[in-house]
Amino acid sequence: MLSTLIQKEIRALLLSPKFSLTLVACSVLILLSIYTGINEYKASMRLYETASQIESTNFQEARNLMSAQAMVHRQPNPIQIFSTGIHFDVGRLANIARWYDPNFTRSIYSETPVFALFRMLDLSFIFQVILTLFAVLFTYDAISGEKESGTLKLTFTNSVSRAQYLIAKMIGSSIGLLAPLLIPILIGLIMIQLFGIHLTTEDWLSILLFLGSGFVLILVFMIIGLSISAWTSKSSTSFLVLLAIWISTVMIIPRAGVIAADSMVNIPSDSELASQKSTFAAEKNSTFSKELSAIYAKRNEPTQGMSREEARAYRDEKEWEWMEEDDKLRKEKDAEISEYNTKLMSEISNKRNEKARLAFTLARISPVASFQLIAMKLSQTDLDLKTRYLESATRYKTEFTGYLEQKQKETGDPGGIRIEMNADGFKFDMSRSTGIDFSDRPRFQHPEVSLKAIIPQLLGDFSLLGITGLLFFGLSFIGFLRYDMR
Amino acid sequence: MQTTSPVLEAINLTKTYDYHVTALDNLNLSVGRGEIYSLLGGNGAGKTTTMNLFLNFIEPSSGKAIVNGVVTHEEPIKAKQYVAFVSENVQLYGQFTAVQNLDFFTRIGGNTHYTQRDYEQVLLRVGLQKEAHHRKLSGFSKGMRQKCGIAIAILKNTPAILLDEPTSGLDPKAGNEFSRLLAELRDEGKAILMSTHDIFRAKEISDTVGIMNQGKLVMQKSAEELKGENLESLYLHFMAGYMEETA
Ligand SMILES: Nc1ncnc2c1ncn2[C@@H]1O[C@H](COP(=O)(O)OP(=O)(O)OP(=O)(O)O)[C@@H](O)[C@H]1O
Ligand SMILES: [Mg+2]
Repeated sequence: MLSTLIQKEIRALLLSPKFSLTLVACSVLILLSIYTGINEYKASMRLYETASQIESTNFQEARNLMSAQAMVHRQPNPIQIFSTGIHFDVGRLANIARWYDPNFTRSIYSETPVFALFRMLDLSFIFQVILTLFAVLFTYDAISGEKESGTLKLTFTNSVSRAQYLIAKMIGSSIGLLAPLLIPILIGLIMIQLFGIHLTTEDWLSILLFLGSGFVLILVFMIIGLSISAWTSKSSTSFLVLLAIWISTVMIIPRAGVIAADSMVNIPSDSELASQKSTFAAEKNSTFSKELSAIYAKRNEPTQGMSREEARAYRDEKEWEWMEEDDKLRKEKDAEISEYNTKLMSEISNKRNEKARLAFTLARISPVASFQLIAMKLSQTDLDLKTRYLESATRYKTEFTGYLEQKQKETGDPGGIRIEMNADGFKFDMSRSTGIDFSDRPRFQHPEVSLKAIIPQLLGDFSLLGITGLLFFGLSFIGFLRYDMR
Repeated sequence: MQTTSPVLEAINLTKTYDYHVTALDNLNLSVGRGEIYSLLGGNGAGKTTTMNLFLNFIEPSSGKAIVNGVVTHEEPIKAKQYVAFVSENVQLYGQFTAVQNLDFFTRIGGNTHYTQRDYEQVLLRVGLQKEAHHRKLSGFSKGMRQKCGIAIAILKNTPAILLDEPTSGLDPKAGNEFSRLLAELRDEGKAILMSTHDIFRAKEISDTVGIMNQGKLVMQKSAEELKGENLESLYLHFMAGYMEETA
């Protein structure tokens, strides 16, 4: 019985114009998205490889510590072919220098704004916007259409249970929509192979999970369509209601969630933050220089009454001691500043997390948002992408500056220009040592997140999708139980 | 005609819509094996309501409809195994051919053993020309669809058949063929309950005729009793008489 009903559903779909339309439209869109995804990925990869190449050449050619410039380049992830997330918004590279915190700049969108204009047409977007719409188109008249055509009545003069009928409708339309999607997706996966993009087993699993979550999203929208059609006797009413639901879940709720969270949690802007930092640093620096002048004055006290030669000898004798003293004070002050900055940053990042959590919680009312979060996590282009890289870059900075200090000690290269000024005039001391070998420099560790670590983070959103699906299936069942078959 | 336990039976069957429109008022009737029962009555008399109650498309306000011993609103799925139905306007899947439609509806009717040839034979039996068997239903006339509906009911092969104005849309020749077909089905032992506006045909083929007016069965006569009577004037008499009563 069930198989007869399902067969009929599929047969009817195969013969319907909406099926051929979907097949053509989806094939074109999916193939196009995967193709552009591959191209973007390859371009990102080329940029990354050239940049890394240039960096290592620079190190090979570097003759002294001054010219040893480290840079961190963000490494593209092949799953971004399907889900670009914020990959194009976050900067590609960061300079590693002792004097400032690493910051990623030069995002693809900032360099090629025309991309930003149309955003990236990735498979994730197609799932969220196009396929959810097709899902609704496939089921909006599942029940009401049969009623209008009069076939519902004849069907139910037979020993068909309503549950059976609903399940058959669901299975039939999901096969009818998902099967034609598999074809272009499969071609797309083959294309990725043909373009020579290397995928690890973990990548393949991530892709499977991504596609799986996309299919779940489509199923959820099909169930929503089914349930509305089981509550309305006219397909036109069902269509209007579903259009309203689609617009709010796909277009409004995810954005409204973010906007609402934005107004609820207040976070100082980057420029406010910078001014807060510089105010603190300026204060510290000015007290520090006042302290220094006081100390200098004190140091010069004993030289009063000495002859020029005596004073000079005294100063020469004390020079190292004083320099170390100064250095210690400077380091203390710098540590204070950097501690303050760290505290500020962690406060901000807590607030940002809080805001993101709130935004996601609100946005998750829409299954589309849950899917988007799953997709971005899997492609590692989620909102934490920047933080992950910043953390790694900060760690790397510590490592790298430590390495430079080590080199400095080993080679005696001051690592900069030292200017000494005294009554005799200026004395320059420049990096003179040449041929320092940097091949043993620490390398940047890309902040890779293993699939094992990602999967637990997906469970919540997967359950949300599942619950929404079950909820609407229950609703469709209740609606259909009271449905007038005549 | 057999009188042992009826196949179709209405006992004090009443249906009230919205608590005041009484569509069916305390209907009692029974149809046995090998019997054709015709229900006559003006528009809105309650004929379709009766059919819908036998098919459990609506729940009775009181009383019960029984098919082959099964109370329809208690065990609808079971009851529907024993009854086939042809509506006044048969609607099938327009994108499927006649044979494909037959295949689907007989399968969900519980018969999976039919072959393509069986479908074609039945379609010929109900008078659908051969050329139409493999054409899409969307191009069919009302009468052609009606014939397909009758074919589906025959193929379901149930002890009871409900027909709600089945001949509406049939041309005179097809109407005659249909009467012959009904007689054949009766001879096979089916219990047939048919609503119709065709007084002459009703008299010609029925074993029992009932006249309904405003939800009530106002007359019921067997073929024996009707012999020599003018059914048309009886019909008009009962309709008019009832009108006067209520007026
Ligand atoms: N869904 C409904 N809600 C309210 N009243 C209804 C409904 N369906 C039918 N009725 C009423 O029930 C009564 C009987 O209608 P029914 O369809 O059984 O008549 P009928 O004998 O089949 O008429 P016809 O010859 O026109 O087909 C009518 O008065 C009709 O208005
Ligand atoms: Mg009627």
